[in-house]
Order: sequence, then structure tokens, then C-alpha cells
Amino acid sequence: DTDEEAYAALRGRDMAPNEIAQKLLLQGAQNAWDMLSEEQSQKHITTGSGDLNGILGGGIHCKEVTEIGGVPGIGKTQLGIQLAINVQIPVDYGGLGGKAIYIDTEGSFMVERVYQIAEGCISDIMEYFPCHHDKSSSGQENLQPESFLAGIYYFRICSYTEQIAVINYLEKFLGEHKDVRIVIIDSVTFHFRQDFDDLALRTRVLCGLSLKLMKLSKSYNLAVVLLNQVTTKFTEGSFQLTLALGDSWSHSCTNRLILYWKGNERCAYLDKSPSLPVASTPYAVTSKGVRDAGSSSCKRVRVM
Amino acid sequence: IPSIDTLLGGGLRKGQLTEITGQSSSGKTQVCLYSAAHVAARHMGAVLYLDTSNSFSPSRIAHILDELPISLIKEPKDMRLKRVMSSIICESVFDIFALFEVLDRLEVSLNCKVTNGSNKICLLIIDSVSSLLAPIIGGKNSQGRSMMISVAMILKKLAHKHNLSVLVTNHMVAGNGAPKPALGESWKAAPHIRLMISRDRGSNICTATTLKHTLLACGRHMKFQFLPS
Repeated sequence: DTDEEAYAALRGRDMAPNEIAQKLLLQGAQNAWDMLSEEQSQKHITTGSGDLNGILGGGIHCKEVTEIGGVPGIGKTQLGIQLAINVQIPVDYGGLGGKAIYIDTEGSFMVERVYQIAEGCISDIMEYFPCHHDKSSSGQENLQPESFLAGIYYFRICSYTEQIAVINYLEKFLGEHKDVRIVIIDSVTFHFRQDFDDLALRTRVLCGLSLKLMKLSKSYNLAVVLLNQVTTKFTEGSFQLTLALGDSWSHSCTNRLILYWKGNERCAYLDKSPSLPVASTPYAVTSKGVRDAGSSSCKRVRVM
Repeated sequence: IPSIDTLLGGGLRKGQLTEITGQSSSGKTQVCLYSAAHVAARHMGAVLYLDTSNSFSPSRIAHILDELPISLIKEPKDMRLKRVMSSIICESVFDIFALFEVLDRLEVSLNCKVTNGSNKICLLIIDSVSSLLAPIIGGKNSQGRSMMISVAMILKKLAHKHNLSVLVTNHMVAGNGAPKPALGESWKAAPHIRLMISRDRGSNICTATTLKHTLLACGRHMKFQFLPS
């Protein structure tokens, strides 16, 4: 064991060599220079909307936990499903070619809609790469909606204990399924809002869960996307946003995106990011899925 | 960041534990990244950055370095970038026990180093220490609180013995009415210097306030802005 060897060596000498001490310290650590080239070569998961990708710095980042908050009906689940599909875009077509884990706490996952979004994704790929699928080694048979559906590992959970259990189970699952590149939890605070009498315990549990998810995203190089409820008040030109379970939770993510209505148009606002400025952009949810605002496909309108 | 340096009385002090507290996305991580970049750039020594939320951004560090005034020593920009970035070491820490382990290894490393100026760690950053303590603090079990006090003692001892500056971030929780720094009353006495920052969403201007300082008066405010990306 390297640790024991090093400690034995240190005890046995008056002056330990710098190399052992340095090696001991650097175990598990990296310097920023190495991380820079890694970061620059990272692929992002497209959201389907070029504008939305723009404010996110290319798309959803792997190795990071991104929280997406929004009022009910704004389309968080739509975006979640879109990401579960888009992560599977083959490498040949600029995607990650990975699989998705979708943890559904509210039962929002509608298979028919997933199929529709998969079809929308495929038709867009065909449009941008018209001659490519003839030459592509992966073959045309992979680009079927059914295979996109098969690439989503779906977990339906009905209580907070099941949620804690599934997150604990994820490590084992990810060890066995190394092609997973995104984990989506829809929605992360739903089962913690009622039934929990001891609020301090709830805070501890949620903080513990978020650290576990951080660790998984880093070790397995995947994106973790947490969908959360939020209420917004638009007063005097600025927002009053209240994320569900607010202060106890809000530090536990790398990035935060807030989805909101501006009149009848959907907008997204990047609220937290270590390297990107705050910014907002409109986007749309169409029959094909999440796209840029001003898309030609028929849009889903605000129902309320 | 000049305003923060002024509030701190010249900068992050060696041998002392400085805490930055603030609400979500108020700029705590940015202060950490700026500190890491500046200390590494000025040849003061190596920086150990412990990250609990995968927020350490090498490209942001590179950007901050880009904006620095040209140093007195003539050094090609890309060589300087590599040198500086190589002296910032980042490690991800996701639980309190891993933190104790890293601090232990750091102690061993600092104890047996022959003075090798530019490689010796002189700044330790933990962003954020409160995330690691949040899962164990509160409740009837007092073990969490005692671990927090242990962490504080170890950090201060490391700072004092090896002349390190230690910078930690803390988040805020809902108090009775106004939000207050997390980690409670027992933690308040731990850092030598405590600063609180907040960001006005509309104008993107941040405000820093001194909550506690060993030498300077408290309650002073300074305003500043981070460089855009």
C-alpha cells in the first residue's frame, strides 16, 4: 500500500525526501494546468436549443451538478427528457453516445412524449448530417426512437426513503453501467416537502445526498441534473425566486438554471456558475422537444 | 480584488483563518478563485484548493490570470500560465472524513519539506467547509459539532505552525427573519477574520462587509465587481 510504504519511509529517516511528501500530498489531487486541458476537451450535453447551450457554455457539463428550477408547467420535465435523449446522440454526430438514468419522483415521465422527442432529435440529426449516415460505422439501424428509449434507465420512486436508497444504489449501478453520462432527478425535493417533521434532519439528509451526487458526477464523469420547484415573483423589474427548500439546499450544486415565463415566452436564467456570467435567453418547447425560441415547429403554449 | 484586500487589511493574512460567508451565488467561489490565481501568480508559493461542489474552474483561473497586469519579470504569457497553473493543486473532497485525511497528508507534507519556496503550500482554500459539515451538524448528536471544532482547531494550527493563509467559505441559512451564516455559534469564534459578501442581482455589484477582524474595525463595507468572462 503506497500510504503505508510512505509512512514507514518517513518514520525511518530524519529527512524525508521531497518526492515522497509531494507524492503523498498529490494523491488524488491534480494541478490546475492538467485540469485545464481536460476541461477544454470535455464535451457538453446539448439542450436542443442553441441559445440555451450558449448561456450554459456549450451545454450541460459533465462532472458537475446542475440544478434546474422552475414553476410547475414551465417544462422542467421536458428539458429533463430532452437531455436524456440528447446524451445518447452518437459521437459521430457530435454527441456523447452515452446512456441516461432518469429518476422520476412525481410520475411526470410520459413515454409517448419521450418517443416524440426521440423522433424529433433523429429528424434533426438527419437534417444536419444528410450524407453522413451512409458512411457512419454505427449504421442507420441505431437511429431509431426505440433505441433511444432503451438507452434510458428509468427509476420510479415514491418516497424519500426510496430516493435515498436509489441514490445510494447508484454507485453500484454506475460501476456496472459505465456508459451512463447523465443522471436526472425529477424532481429532487418533491418527497421532502411534506412528511418531514424534523427540518434539521431533512437539511442534513439533503446535504448528504447532494455531496454523494457531487462525488458520483466527478468519479464517473457524468452530468447530474436536479429538477426542482420554484416560485417566482416578478416585482419592480427584478425577480424574487424561492427555490423549494431554499437556503438549506441552494449551495449544493455547481450550476443553477432558473426557467421562468416572460409574458407567454419561456426564458432561462443562469443564476449560478463558477465560470460563466449570469445571463438569460428565451427558448421554446415544441412538438419536437426543446428548441430555440422562434422555431418553426409548433410550439407548446402556456396553459395557465 | 482590491476592495476585499482593503477590508482584510492588506490581503489574506498568513497564520490566520479567514472565512467568507454569503448566500448562494454571491461570489464566494469567485473570491477563492481570485485568491488562488493571485497568490500563485506572485510566486508566493503553491495553493491547495479543496473543492466540495465541483466548482473549481481552470478556465476561469486562466481568464483571471490573463487580466493581471504584466509582471515586472519578463516572462512569456503562456509560460507564466503554465507555471502558475501548475502550482495550484485542486482536490475534490466530499465528506468530512476525507477532509481530515487531506489535512493530515498536508501536515505530513509540510513537516518534511525542505524549504523549496515556490513549491511549498502557502495558501489553503476550502470551498466550502460548511457543505462538508452540513450533513453532520444539528440534531441531538453532538458529534457533528465536535468535528466542526476539530476542523477549526486543525486549520488554525496548520496556519500558525506553517505560516499558511487559510481561506474557507461558509453558506447562509435562514435565521429568525434575516439569513445568517451557517455553522452556528460555536463556529463564530473559530476564524480570525470573517467577511460577508452579497451580490445585487440587478447591477451585479457585490458588497463585502467585515463581520469579525482581529485588528480592524468591523462593519466596514466595500463594493466591487468581478471581471466578466
